[in-house]
Amino acid sequence: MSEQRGIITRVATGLRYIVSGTAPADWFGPAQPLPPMAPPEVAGRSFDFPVGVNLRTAPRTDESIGFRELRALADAYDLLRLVKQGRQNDYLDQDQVQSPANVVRIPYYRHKDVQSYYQTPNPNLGGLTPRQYLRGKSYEEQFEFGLQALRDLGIMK
Amino acid sequence: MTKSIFDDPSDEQLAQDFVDLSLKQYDSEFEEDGVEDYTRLYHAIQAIAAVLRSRGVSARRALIPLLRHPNARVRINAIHQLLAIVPEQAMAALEEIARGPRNRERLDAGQTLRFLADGTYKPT
Repeated sequence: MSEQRGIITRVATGLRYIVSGTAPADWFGPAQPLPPMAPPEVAGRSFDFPVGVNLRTAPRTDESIGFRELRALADAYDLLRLVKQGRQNDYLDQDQVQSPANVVRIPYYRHKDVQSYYQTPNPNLGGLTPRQYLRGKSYEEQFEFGLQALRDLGIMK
Repeated sequence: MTKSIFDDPSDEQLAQDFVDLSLKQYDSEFEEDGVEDYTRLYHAIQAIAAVLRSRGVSARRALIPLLRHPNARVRINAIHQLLAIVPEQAMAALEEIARGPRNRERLDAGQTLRFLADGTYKPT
């Protein structure tokens, strides 16, 4: 029985050599996937182990969203603080102002829209700019004001 | 005979200037550095509105046709001058803009509705 298994194993190894060109001695060469090792009762893995990872020069080349896409996304989207940082808000808790909860990423041109909105006079605010109107207001009031502006502009839901 | 700068423009002429400046203000929203233009035009529009207000309620009525202007910036600028005179018409126009495309005009309209509701904004 064991002799028979040995013959089958050797035949399988020979066939693998014919198909893949990988000699039996090269059991784990570069760019060569690991042979399946899971026991039969395991249905299989969703993803195979990546091979040849040490040969890659760019990160995440085999993923649907790669480094290039992430870099482009970061370049095209600006950071916007709902509560503005700077001298006018010196009296607020700076940990809150700098907190990630106060930051959204929005497209560059939408950021321009929001910036110009904050800098231009508004009849609803008695002719003040939102920036002037919010001076002296609490963090929560400024945050809610900014959030509502982004909702009205369709940037956030 | 050329028109003198000392001639008083008619209410209709002021309404036309109101439209022209509002359209320029709308264009400035899309300029890369349009903040200065927008602000300058805002004050020019307010100056026209102040002249109309100084002439009484009937003069401001010259702006009523602007509530149906195709440009939302013209409409919303007119709404602010008319909310106290023709509140129902002005509110209907305001609500229409607040349901429209998500842009600067919708932002202004939504904010006006909220400020009217909570009493922050009292039209005169």
